[in-house]
Parts: sequence; C-alpha cells; structure tokens
Amino acid sequence: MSADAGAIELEVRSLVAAALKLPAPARAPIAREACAAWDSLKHVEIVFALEDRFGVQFDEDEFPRLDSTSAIADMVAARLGS
Amino acid sequence: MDHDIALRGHGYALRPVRPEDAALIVALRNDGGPYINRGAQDEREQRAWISRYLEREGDYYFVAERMRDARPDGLAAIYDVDAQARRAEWGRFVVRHGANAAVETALLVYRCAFEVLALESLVCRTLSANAQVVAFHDSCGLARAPAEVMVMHDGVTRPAVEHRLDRAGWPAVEAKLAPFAQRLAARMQDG
Repeated sequence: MSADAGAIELEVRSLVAAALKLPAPARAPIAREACAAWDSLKHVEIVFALEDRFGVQFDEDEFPRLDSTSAIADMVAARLGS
Repeated sequence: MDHDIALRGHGYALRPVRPEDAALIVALRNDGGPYINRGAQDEREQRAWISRYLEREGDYYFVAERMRDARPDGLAAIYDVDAQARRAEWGRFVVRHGANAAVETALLVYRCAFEVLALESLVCRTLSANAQVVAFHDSCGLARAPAEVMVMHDGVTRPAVEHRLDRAGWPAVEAKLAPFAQRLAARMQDG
C-alpha cells in the first residue's frame, strides 16, 4: 500500500465511522456486512460524503461494491490515480 | 386490493402489484430477509395469494420500478388500513440486492400514506434479527417503540421492532430523504 493509499484508507475509515456514529478513531477496517448501523440510507449518505470529500463520482452500479472501508479506499485511490 | 394508485418520484415510481408480478415477488423475497411473513414459496402459490389480496380492502401493494428502464427493484405495501383512526401498517418491504431503491421506495410509501391516503399515522414492524432494516427505519427518523413487540414468524414467536411515523413527522422525514433520492436519481440518469 502506498503512503497515499494508506492515508486514503485512514480518512475513509474516519468518514465512515463518523457517519455510522462509531467510536473514533476506527483502527480496523469496517465492513457493511458486519455493521448493523450501515443501513441503506447510511450507505447512500456515506457514498455521497465520500464523493464530496474526495471529488470523485461513483456509478450507480458501483454503489453495492462500496461495502467496506478497504473496498472504498481502493476505489477512491483508483479514481485519484494513487 | 385492486387499487390504481401510482406515484412517480425522482428515480423510482410505485405502481400497483398485478397477478403477473408473482414470479418477481417470489424472486425478490427469496433474495433477502428474514421477513415477518414467510410468504409464498413458488409462483403458483404467489398468484393465489395475489388473487386473495386483490379482494382485500385496505391493502395497497406496490412494485417500485426504476423510472429509467422500468426495472422492478422493490416491493412495499400499506395494509391493515383503519379508515376511522386513519392509521395503517406498512411493510412487505423488499429491495433487489444491489439496487439503490430503498430510500426512494420508503419516501414514496410515506407520500402515499400521508398525501394520497390522508393517513394520520403509519407503523412498521421489523424482525429484530433484521438489524440493518431496523437501523434503516431509525436512520430515516422514525420513532422506535420503547419495547420490542412479539410477532409470529414461521410458527414461532419472535421479537420485532416497531417504528411509527405520524403526519406531523412526515415533513422532517421527507426533508431528510428527498435530497438523497434526488441525487441518486441524477446518478441513475447518468448510467
């Protein structure tokens, strides 16, 4: 993982933890499947917050794949060319 | 109930369930859950259920279709309408795996309840085990009953969470959900 990718992952974790009102800082990856609070409305909130924060845009059919902080960080990093 | 209520939102529309939706309903319900009611297990059984539903008053069952291409992405219903008390329950809420239909389907259900059916109050019950749907109703801003209720599920009594939305609370919920539905719809049009 490059330094940029690592920084992105930490920021993604922080953003997701804040949206889900989880105790911060989130020291480990967060997966939607394992987090009851990550419901359908929170998912949309998280995706749009990520888009606004990183200046990226995800296709509608990519939304379901943004299902963990690791997956999100990878997709954001790919968008940003990190 | 053989109703003709149809609502168009930003990216999704609700239309009445028809007998030919039987296979769709079975497929969508088998894709998720758990649900309070087990439901029909095959298309023939589901068609029979829809025939009985069409004769039942106070029951409005909908398919949520993506407006861009009419893909049926979800189901929801308002039922057990108490015409005197102006209250009802909503449920049979199912969304196709991977579809972004939940937010606008809920929004349209509430619009139907408060602006079309002129209800005063709507409740929904979700099995406590269905934690992400319970969380969804919490996130939408619905009031959660302080104690769990017990419901029958596959012949077994199980705990469920009851949420309520009253007419007075609808504008706040609409204000919360509508911007997300609009932004999602714009993304769907891009696709």
